Amino acid sequence: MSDELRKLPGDAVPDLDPVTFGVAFTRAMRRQRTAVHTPSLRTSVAIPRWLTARCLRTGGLTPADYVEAAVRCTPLEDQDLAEAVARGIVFPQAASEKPASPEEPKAVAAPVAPTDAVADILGDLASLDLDLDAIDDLSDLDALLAADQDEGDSELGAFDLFERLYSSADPGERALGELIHRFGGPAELEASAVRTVFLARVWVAKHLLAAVGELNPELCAFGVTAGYGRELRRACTEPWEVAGVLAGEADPALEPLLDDLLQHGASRELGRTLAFLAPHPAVAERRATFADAALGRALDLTDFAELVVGLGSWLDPDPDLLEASIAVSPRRALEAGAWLEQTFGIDLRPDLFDRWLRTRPRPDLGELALLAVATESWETALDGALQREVARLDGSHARLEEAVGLTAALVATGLPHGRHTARRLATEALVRVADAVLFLPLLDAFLERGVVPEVDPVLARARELGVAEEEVLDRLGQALEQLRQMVLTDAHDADRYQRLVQRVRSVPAPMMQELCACACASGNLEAMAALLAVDMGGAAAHLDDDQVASALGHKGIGGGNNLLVQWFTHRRGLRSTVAARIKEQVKATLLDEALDWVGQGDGSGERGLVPQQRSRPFRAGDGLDQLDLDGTLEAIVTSGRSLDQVTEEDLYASETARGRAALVVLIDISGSMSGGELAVCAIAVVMLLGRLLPEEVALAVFESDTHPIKGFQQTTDLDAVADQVLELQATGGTRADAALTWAADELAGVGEAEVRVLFLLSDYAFFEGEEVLKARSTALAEHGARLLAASHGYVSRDTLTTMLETMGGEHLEMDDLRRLPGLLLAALSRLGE
Amino acid sequence: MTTDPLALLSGAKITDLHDHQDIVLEGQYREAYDAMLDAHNAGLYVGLIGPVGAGKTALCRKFAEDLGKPFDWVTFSDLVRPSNLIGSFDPTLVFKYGFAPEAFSPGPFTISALQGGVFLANELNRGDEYVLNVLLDALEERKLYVPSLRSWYRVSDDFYLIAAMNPSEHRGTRRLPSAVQDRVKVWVELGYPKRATELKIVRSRCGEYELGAAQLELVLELVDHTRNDPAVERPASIRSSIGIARLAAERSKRLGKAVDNTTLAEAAKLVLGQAILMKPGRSREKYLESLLVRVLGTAGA
Repeated sequence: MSDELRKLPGDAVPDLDPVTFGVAFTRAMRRQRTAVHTPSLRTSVAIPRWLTARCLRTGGLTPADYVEAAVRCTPLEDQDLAEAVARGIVFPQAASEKPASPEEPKAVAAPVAPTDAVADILGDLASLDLDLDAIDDLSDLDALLAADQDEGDSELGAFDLFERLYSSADPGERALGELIHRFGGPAELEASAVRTVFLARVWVAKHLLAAVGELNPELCAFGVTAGYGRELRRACTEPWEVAGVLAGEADPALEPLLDDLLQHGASRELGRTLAFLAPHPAVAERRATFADAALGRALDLTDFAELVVGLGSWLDPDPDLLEASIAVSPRRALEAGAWLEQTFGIDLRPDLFDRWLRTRPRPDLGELALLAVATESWETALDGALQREVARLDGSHARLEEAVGLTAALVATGLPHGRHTARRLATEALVRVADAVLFLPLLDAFLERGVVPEVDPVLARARELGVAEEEVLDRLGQALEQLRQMVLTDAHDADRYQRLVQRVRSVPAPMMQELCACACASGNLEAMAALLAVDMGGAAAHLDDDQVASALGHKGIGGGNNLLVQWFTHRRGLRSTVAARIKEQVKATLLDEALDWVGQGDGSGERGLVPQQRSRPFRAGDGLDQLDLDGTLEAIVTSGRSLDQVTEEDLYASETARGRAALVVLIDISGSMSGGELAVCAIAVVMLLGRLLPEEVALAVFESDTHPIKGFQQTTDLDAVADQVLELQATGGTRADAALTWAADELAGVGEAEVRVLFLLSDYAFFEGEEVLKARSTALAEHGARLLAASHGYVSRDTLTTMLETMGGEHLEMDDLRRLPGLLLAALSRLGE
Repeated sequence: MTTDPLALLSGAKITDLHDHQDIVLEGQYREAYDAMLDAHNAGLYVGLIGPVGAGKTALCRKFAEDLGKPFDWVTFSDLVRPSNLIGSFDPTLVFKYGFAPEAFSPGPFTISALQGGVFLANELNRGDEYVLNVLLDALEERKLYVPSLRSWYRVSDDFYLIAAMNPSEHRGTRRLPSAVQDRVKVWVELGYPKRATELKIVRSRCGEYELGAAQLELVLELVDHTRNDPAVERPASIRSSIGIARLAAERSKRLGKAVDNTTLAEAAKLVLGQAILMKPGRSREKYLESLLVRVLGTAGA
């Protein structure tokens, strides 16, 4: 190919012709690491062809035509980037960032009769229209494309570029620098080969727009200052983000938005809007009046908390509000109190509890366990409730089972007096056991829940019942002390460590420090593994990253499910470096645990939830490969006709249904979930996705927000799901509206599915009122879904009943959440019946 | 009125599939049309991407009509199989002739490819990859294989494919296989048109009614709000604009009164009630009521 430019008549673009432009553009796009699609040789061929056709139709070519050709010949996802790259080639020295205006009038002239030059170029182009496998013909073109010469014109190094922007006097450039810093800094720029301001803006735009939906107020404000207001306005859909953009641009549209929010918005939206207005001093006054109006609307402490957190400064709540919150839902009120305490360090919970106690003079242990607060009045109430509960113990199986549940709830409070009360209750229950057969199972039940009763009274009762002392002592055998001795004496017995860690619930902090130091000094990986297995957070604080990574799960000590429990319980307290290192190990464990379950249950995932082979009448459009020959011949023979009398009505086709069920799974991970419970949910989530065909299951977890894990239309990537699931955190209140709406939307998009089920694991103590829940349940019922409700522990009966009555279905009550994966598998089997 | 099925079919048969209704070719539609024309002349297949009701199919039909070529289409979904594109064999004829051309009924893609028509692959990104791969040889090699005939057929030089689809983030869509994506070389995005263009479109579809400019503006104002409101996940399309205008006009005609805001509000409620989809947690009824009051001053009777 000649090096001279092959200009078309009327081509007004200097220094470029369609072919060289096509090649240059394709090369430049291949260097863009943020591009979704890598352009192929076809792109470098398509661009000059398109430009030639455009030139023949309009009689000339303008720079806008070149840019349009590049944009049109690029898939939609990369068209913004393509425009920037194309403009960089067509206008190499241009400072303007104005995009090609689609309103620019184009001169439409009669097509010019081709001259020899055009025919010459068309001849070249026609020669490109060969079978692309014949690479020899395109070797020049390919060589040009493969060349990786850096033709940077006014390029800085990425670090210099960042420095220039970050320290610029211009607010827009400085904001751009801030955004680069927040998206990874100059190292990320360098990795993406971004070295000009123009490409830096494109790079930042991509990251900023990808973060839409999860922006924070600062990112939003910097985005507007850096000049991305227009793009953010197009992309943002959350009202608080839109408010942040409008405030940054001093747009009068902010006013109606705020009015609309005040009329229709939930407190969460109002609170977040307040946060997003904070960085903009120009709207400070409006923000203040908005806050006042919003606070006037707050119905309970949760609403109040949302607003105050958004406001960023403490306000004393109205006493009437506290009373109202306690009256509606004391548990929710305490959760809101915990959140406020976390944010502002001001603890309203003692006051809330005292108010509640005034309305409930004789609370029972169950209620007090749910409303646990570290105050003297709670402890006093607990003591009184314990006495009443002990008075009820009569040695019957039912009462003893209740006692087990209550001790678990008391331990779960995490408060010393709760644990102490649990211990006392367990002791009282055991000394009242009348039947020897029940004694050891009951003791095991308490120990499994981390409740160690007092040794002497329990031993005495065991003797009275004729239960072997060794059995009791072995169970009560001071596992912590044994562990301590093993570490101090540098023991390496992995099996023994494994047995002990299953019985040790916690290690006091000073002892943990002592034992970790000892294990480090002797390099005892088994000891370190045991300590990490008992308390990953506590042990990791005294071990370095390498030791943690090496010791975790060493020789199987504390691996498996225990590792997952430890991860969910302690990961927020881990150093980021060590968390990153052990996450891969935890992920592998999660996948192993989940895939163990996947292998259980009936049927095969490959054939779908409810695989079925069936025969149906042949219809137009069916291929002959679908013909059910046996069924057809049988029908013909039965009818007594001969072969030449066969009509299409006699034919049958066989069909394998790929699955006739659609299962939506919603799991409530609101604040009351422990690390162990989260671990079980994580296993259940991954198990489901590994077990079922992608189109059969949609899955989300929710607390105050809904986090879709996978929709019906998405493929399943277990690795990505495991990553996502390991970052779940039990937090916030329980808002079911968005989750149920998501479920209904997913089911609406399902085509053929004879069985549609919503599996919902929750305590059903939702923020929304009955009306809203009924409406959502009705919407689900209209999509044919029935409810498979699952719960463990406390459940809000009224809400559950409303939903069951509206949707139909059944309620599965678990006494132990660890049964969840098995329960799900059983539910799946029943779907096929 | 005949009840004879054969006579009914014969009398209703359409021989000319061209839609002679005028379309408004301005604004984004003009630009898209020009881009398609250039792509066609350059021998490059084009993909049209846009939301539901943006006018993709109408534009393709107009394009084919202007080129003077036959127009065929298939709307892709999970249920579309290769035989729906290529064609299938009549089993009863197979018993008689075997796997021979006499027993073969060509599908719309085969007909279009062999006679040199314009083929619209509608909702292409809802099709199964296995089915889409059937198109590859015809698009690149310009030849078509019919498996049971064990024969290759030459695709006419005049054959042209247009792919139309909703954006990939829409529910039910898939990512196009890269082999197909790379063969469609020109991508044109259509959004909802500018107000002036949409006004002309609605007017052209409501020709038999007397609707004032002010009333049409109100209809477009309503629809426009749904497209710009962050609470709305799926906004109203051009079809909704046309629907509201026609319904309000017809209702007023039936009631013997002029089209007023109340009539518009009632029509809008009926049309938009299922046309729009709200984001999770937002009430459609409350939103519509607020919108109607804001724009029309009334939420209807």
